[in-house]
Amino acid sequence: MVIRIRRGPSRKTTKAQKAPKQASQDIPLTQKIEENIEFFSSLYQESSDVIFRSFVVGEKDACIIYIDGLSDTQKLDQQVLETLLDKTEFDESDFLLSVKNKLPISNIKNISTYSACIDSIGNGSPILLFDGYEEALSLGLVKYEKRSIEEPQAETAIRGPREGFTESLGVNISLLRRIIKDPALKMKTILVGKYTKTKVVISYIEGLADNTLIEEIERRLQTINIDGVLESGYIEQFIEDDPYSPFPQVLYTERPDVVSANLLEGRAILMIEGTPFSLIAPVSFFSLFQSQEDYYERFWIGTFIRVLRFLFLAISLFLPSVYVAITTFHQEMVPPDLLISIASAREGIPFPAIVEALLMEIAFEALREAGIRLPKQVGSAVSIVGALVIGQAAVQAGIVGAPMIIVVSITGIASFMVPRYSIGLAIRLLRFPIIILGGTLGLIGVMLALIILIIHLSSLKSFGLPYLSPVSTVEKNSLKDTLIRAPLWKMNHRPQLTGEYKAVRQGPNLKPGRNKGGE
Amino acid sequence: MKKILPFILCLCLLALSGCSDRVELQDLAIITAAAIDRLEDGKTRISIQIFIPRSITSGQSGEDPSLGSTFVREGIGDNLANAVSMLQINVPRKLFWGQCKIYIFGNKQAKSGIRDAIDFLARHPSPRGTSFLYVSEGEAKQILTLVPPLERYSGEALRKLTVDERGLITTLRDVDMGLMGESESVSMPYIKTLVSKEKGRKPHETIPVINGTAIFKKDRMVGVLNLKDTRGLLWLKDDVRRSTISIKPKGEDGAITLTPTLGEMKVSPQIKDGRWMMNVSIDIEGDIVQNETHLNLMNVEVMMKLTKEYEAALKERVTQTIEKLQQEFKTDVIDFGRRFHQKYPKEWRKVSGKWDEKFPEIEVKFTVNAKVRRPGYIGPPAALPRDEVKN
Repeated sequence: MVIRIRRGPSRKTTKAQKAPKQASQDIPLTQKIEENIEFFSSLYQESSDVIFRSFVVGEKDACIIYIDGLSDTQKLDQQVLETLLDKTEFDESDFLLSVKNKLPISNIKNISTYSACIDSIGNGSPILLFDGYEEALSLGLVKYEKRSIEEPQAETAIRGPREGFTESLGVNISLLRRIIKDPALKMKTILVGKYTKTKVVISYIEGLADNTLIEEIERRLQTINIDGVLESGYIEQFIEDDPYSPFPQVLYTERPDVVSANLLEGRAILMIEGTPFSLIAPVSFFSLFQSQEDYYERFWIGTFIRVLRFLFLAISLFLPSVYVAITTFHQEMVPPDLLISIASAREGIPFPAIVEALLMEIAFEALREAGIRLPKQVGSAVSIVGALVIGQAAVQAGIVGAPMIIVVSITGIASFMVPRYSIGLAIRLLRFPIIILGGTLGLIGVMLALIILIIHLSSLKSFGLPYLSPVSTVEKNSLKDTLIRAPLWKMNHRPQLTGEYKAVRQGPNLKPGRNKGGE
Repeated sequence: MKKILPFILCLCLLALSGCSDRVELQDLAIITAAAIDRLEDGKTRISIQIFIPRSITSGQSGEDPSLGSTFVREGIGDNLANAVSMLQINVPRKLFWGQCKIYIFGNKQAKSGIRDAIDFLARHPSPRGTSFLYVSEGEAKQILTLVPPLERYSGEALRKLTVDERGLITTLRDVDMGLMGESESVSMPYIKTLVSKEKGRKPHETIPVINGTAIFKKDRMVGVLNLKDTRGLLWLKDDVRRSTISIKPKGEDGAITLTPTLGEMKVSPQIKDGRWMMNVSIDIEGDIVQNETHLNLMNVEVMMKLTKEYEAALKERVTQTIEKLQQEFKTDVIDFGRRFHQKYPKEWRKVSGKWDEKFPEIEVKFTVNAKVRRPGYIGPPAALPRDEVKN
């Protein structure tokens, strides 16, 4: 199935297109059931999974329309049909109300337009039509197969909840509601996708999240006019501030605890039907280096691992290019013993260092990609063959120097240090132009790349939040949670995001101590 | 098109200007040490020790270890610059001077003057200011051809000897500054080939060792201090790292040997009634490393006596050296001139042109303040019956 995403049209044409479409579907139901059934059967022509069940209640013709597999047929049979077909008397004066009162279903709604009926059927709620009424009943009997709650595979943690989001939006919302019980947790639903009509839920905590931020997210979501939304990535790419940047400006996660933490910091969450990944906005560069476990473990460990992550960020971005630059331009910089070791290892290598580096990096990326694509049983074999055998053979054959293998392996491992996969992808991608710069202009090239990167990062924004905040904006309180992770009892303020916010998040003087209990 | 143009221009920047000075490691001949000699006919010869990367490739080593991992090439010319330019002809790879930290002057070259060579080395961008300079006994080239049994090449052996062991460190910058400075003199380690007495080792399988200090007046070598005087010179330069001093207490057969641990030297020049004086005070601490006598070192009185003798021994040592420098070489390698210049700029102006005449006349007074802190793990002499220990 190929989904074509329309990028072209500007906002004006979007509105123009929307207006007539809505008008055609907002036709109210007619009193005659035949006409209504006629309409729906022509709409669902050649759709064998749409079930029309006509029957008679009292003396009135009635019809249930639903899609097989989306609705709970067992309940439909036992609770709806059995009640209606039973010789129960219904109040003729207010027939619909009496039917509603007889049916043992909690989520039951009156709907009166064709479009509402279509939405209801599409969502899995059967509709019940009666002859002589301009209203139909939508029965909340949605039931479809879904995955059970499992531990997220891509975001594992030693310490922390083992629950992960699933593809079902209802389950995801319930997971969130189970963590944050306050009614201030709001869920706004917006439908995106002309054909998929995917529910996108904007979730935020009222009073903590900036109102203008929520408005802006809503506005951006409403301008999306595409065929379908299959993953959160579709939404992400349509609401970003800088679409050409390699850096993610919206974070994704499949952990309810991560989502809750971000909600409590005043951010907004987008939950998308059909995917376990929720989007977090706004984010800064430094939130990409925060892992939930930083907060669950003691702050010393959290801080140490943070520092390590930034160190390895630098390594994974610059190590191959610095190696190439130094061995081809600045041999004086290497201590003599090391230079001699490198020179011996590189003796007889037919390629220049830059070609060697590109060759190995590309091979490494290919191995990694192949490792994901291959079936699990074969995947491990490929990684072992790739890493050990090819590397060893290449060194022995004198095609690649051993130091380059070391550099590439360290770099490869380093890019996994970042807890958010999306930034790891950006780093992997950026490594190649930096290697080329380092191989052509030497360390000047590497510095050039660094400067360009910093300029680019400082110019980025995520929903109005400067990407390098709080470091670039020098927010004293927010700095406690960037390079270091201050003790929880010291982080009394929420990070400064956009607009108005409630700064204080916890009571003062929470530092525990020996005397605390006895006082 | 407008959007693509800057991109293409950037690409041109990389493709056209970049890579031009790119040198792969495989195309470099890494020079590890250089030796400068003066030939009979007055020409200058430079010999370089080039590292062979193939020689230490792990696994397949087919090379004869006695051949070493380096080879020597030479260039001859009227001066150093010419000689260096002749070098490249005999080496298929680009000569790489960036890692060359060892420059050895031959005896003859040192005696006939090194200023021209220093000018070339300091002016050329490749040699490091921090590279070490030496003077060799005899021909400098011989040092390069040695194959050390422990290190990978003789240059490395020499560098490690200098950095880690006793001896003087003289860098290119030191020489440049020393010859420019008030005293117009400089000292360099004097090296010779260690004669290995092991049977089965070929004569060239040995290392160069430091055997004293070459004293330069202006840019010519005027003499060599032996190892003992070198130690004294190191004291005067406040540069002692590892040494031992043995003292013989009166009335005892053996000696007590100490090793200095902490030392501080202060130099204060003084001009009084036209007499130029230099007060040198040395504060020193020492540990006892060997006791051949029967004295009990746990005794406070013995220790007091010992400390006195220690001071006297040290004093004698430095006095000897300074006398040699003043009377025999008339060369101020310890930079007393600069001290006088700093403290007495007016008086200095009178003697600045003839400092080498004034220097021998300076009265040098030593004050040594020694402390013996640790007698070692054991107090009384070891392996001696208690009744033979003298208190």
